[in-house]
Amino acid sequence: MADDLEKFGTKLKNAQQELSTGNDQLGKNDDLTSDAERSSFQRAMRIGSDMIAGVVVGVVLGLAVDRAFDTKPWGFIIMFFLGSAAGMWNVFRAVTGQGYTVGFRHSGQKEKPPNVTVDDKDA
Amino acid sequence: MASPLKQFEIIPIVPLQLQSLGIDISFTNSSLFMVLGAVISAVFLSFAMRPQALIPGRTQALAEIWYEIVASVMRENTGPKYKPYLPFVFTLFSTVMMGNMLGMLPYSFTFTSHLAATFTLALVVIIGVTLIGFYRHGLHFFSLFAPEGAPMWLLPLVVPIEMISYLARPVSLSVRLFANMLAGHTMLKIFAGFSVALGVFGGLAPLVVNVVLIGFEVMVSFLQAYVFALLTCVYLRDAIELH
Repeated sequence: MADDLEKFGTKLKNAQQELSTGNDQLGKNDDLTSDAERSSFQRAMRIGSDMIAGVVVGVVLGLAVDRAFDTKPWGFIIMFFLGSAAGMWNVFRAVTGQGYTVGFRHSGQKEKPPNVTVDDKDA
Repeated sequence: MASPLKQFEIIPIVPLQLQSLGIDISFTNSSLFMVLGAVISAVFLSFAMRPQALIPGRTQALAEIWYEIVASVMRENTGPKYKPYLPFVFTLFSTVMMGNMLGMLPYSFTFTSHLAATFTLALVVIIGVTLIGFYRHGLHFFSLFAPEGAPMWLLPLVVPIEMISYLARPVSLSVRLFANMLAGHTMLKIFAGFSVALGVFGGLAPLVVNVVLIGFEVMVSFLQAYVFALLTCVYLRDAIELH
């Protein structure tokens, strides 16, 4: 009887340990990204490329729209501003620690930004 | 002295032109290092895992660490359904890392320092992820572009921005890898050029800097491959775990 209890005790302990390490790993999500970007140079590289990428994609899409539908220069102008907005949005996400995802679906739950209040409904 | 950018020149080794289509498919030094990277990583991994010892030796431990890095990144970032995609991400990580690391050898060529190569890799990732998303969720995948809780009247503005932001991913992913490798290798070459130009005594300072930079560059080589794999995992999670 006591033997059984002891066995159960160790089993429980192991399971708890496993669970807590598992939880740690979930929470580590944020740390991991910051781990990969520990140096500020890496962070700068990421933010810079994110912002440029948005503008570049916007401009290319705008020029393509202009060429396809002969709407010069409106496609370019509109897409340029949308692209800049997308780039800025990406930078905002990177800086507030919302991760790399498009949209805000996972970000509200998994990777809570450290200094930005999350909407109560999501929490 | 050779220009610092000369190392990025693509030289055809076996010239091959498809005249009728106007496409140049020569086997270049870039292709050579891609093949080398694939062969070396495949041969090394199968050789290292040969003993299959319970307590790994040094080479086996290296192979296991190699695998474990990718597996843990996927576990933590892709979620529980990561297993079917592990081979792909592992191959991607190995390709990029071998490309970066082989580029650290003197007289070698770094194929990851070319936007064409990295952008192709990023395109494969993004098209694959999008197809997986459509396959798993159908048209519901488009809900990715509509942020939760956004008011209806904002949607016409938000959805295009989100779409551009989605399309910007491969650009951002490839530019980051390419720019890091290009900048790092150019910097190494410039400092090496200083050492030559400044002579025996004056050249010592840039030489010391270069030693430090080479260590830094090895770290960047690994880190960029790691980030590439990490971002692929994050994008995969979007496609798999769409709610």
